[in-house]
Amino acid sequence: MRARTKKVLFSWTILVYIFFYVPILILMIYSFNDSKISTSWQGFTFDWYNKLFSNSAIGSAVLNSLTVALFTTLISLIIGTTAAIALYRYDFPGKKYIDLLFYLPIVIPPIIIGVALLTVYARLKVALGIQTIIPGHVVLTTPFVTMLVMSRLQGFDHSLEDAAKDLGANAWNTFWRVTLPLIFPSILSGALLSFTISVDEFVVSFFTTGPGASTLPVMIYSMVRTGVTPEINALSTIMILVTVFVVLLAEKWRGTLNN
Amino acid sequence: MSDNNMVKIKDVVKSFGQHQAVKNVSIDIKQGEFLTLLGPSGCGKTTTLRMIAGFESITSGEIVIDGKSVASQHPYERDVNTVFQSYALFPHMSVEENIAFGLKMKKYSKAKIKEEVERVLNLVQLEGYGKRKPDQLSGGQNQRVAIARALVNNPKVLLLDEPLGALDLKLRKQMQIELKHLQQKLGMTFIYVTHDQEEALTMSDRIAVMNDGHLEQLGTSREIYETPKTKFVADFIGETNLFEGEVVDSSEINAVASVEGNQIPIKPIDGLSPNKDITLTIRPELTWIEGSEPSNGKPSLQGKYVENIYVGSVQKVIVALPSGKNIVINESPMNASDLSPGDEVNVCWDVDKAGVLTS
Repeated sequence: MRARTKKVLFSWTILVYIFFYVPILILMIYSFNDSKISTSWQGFTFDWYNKLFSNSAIGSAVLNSLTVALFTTLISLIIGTTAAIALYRYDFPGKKYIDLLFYLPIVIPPIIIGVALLTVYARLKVALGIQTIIPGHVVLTTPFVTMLVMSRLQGFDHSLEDAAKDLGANAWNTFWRVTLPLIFPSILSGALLSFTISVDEFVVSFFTTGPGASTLPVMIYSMVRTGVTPEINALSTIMILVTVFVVLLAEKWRGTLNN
Repeated sequence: MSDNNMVKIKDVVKSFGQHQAVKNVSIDIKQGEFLTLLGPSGCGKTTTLRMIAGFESITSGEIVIDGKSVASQHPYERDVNTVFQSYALFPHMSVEENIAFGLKMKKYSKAKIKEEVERVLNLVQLEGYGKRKPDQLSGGQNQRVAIARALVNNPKVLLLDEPLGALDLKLRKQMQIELKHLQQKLGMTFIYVTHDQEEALTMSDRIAVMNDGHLEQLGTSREIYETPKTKFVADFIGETNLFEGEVVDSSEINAVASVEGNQIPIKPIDGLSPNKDITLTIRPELTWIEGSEPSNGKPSLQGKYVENIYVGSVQKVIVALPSGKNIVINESPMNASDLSPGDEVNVCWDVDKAGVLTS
């Protein structure tokens, strides 16, 4: 490659990364700014973090988010994994379209899922609360679990399950001793992905939550309506760091489990 | 078991939708026999094996293993084990755990399992490899683990689905001999699937040649090679020259056919009559070249020398017949050929060495 081309490509790469991360970086820096308005730097402080931790409304929003994420993860793991095994194992006319229907929620706008669920809840007269967020999140996360488990299943030898049966294992033993251990790494990545999607999700949560029961993103939204305070910057910084940590953990686990 | 047959395959048919993969196949396999299902890909050999193992249901017909019809039995209820083409070793288990899997399912005691695992590791010459994972072993070693994992269960029948396909030629030849010795030592019934005719000839007591879902011929290696019953078998096993012809005259002691425009003596087999169409199969190694027409009445065809191809153990002499068809003759590479292209030669053979096929 010519030196000039190399230089151009290098600059381009830097620009892409700046585009991705500079806004987030600025947000993080201003969470330590000793000023109420985020326009100029007035000195370093941990005040906003202190304020954040003493805010009980935020504490309950964090708890709500974690509760929703936990249930979402459990339910989508069960549905997603069993669906992947079924879609992998059975073939029938029109299966392509059934497969597609399973992955469709990935491209359906969350706002539609939110509004649709809200309509159903209203019709069935379901009282809204944090529990009513969970079904919407399950719809959003399950396709990812299915995709991860499916690709893992497709990656290993078809004869393994036959081999287990050949060696005297019934369907139950084949699943617990061969299939599940093999797909376990993908189930784990699916769990972490579902968890982070659920914790960060705003639109569906906003539509389907009840009065007074906010998740963290919904809480942040109601706070910024009166202007972006450094307290929100601090909260966002924590959310970003936790998410990055979980994703790194997922990658590390995946690596060690594959070997 | 009154008739000494370990496995009886009776009029077995397997259909996938409209397609018949296996068509009315019947084979009786004796206790302690090494039987090979041989044929090109898509001939139904693997499907037949999978029906014996229980991975495929039987559309019609019956499979009997050790006197019991197995149609309603799941794979895990059958007293057979399979060595898979891909080995299908469990990647998350060590060699020991892989081998112990079947015994664990049968709820053997820990001590007994340990003893048996040691025994088969010894049998396949992999002592000391028990703690390794399959991805830390070579292809040949994994092959041995797969065999050990099946053998440890002491099955009545061992099914092998092209188990040596992934190995290089040298290792494959070595494993062929080893497998054959193992089978003789254990006295176990082996059913072996391969598309490699040389492998089949080397290892088998009997070979079942399959083509397009049906059984072409069942016989010993020697019978299959020396007296093929159909054109397909003659062509598929080894190398041969096939010639269409028509019977001119036949009696109990001799017969003559018109082949390539010549009147040629052929082996007088049953069922020949004038005007009957036949196919003559002449193996390259059973023919030789002479400068003039043989005077002793041996069959021969006249043609023009084309070329000589050296392939190591033999040299292949190509002769073009007047019809334009080539005939291949194997000669010892010791014979220095002083022929030049276009020279008139006679290709000769013994009457009873050329197979006469009527189907």
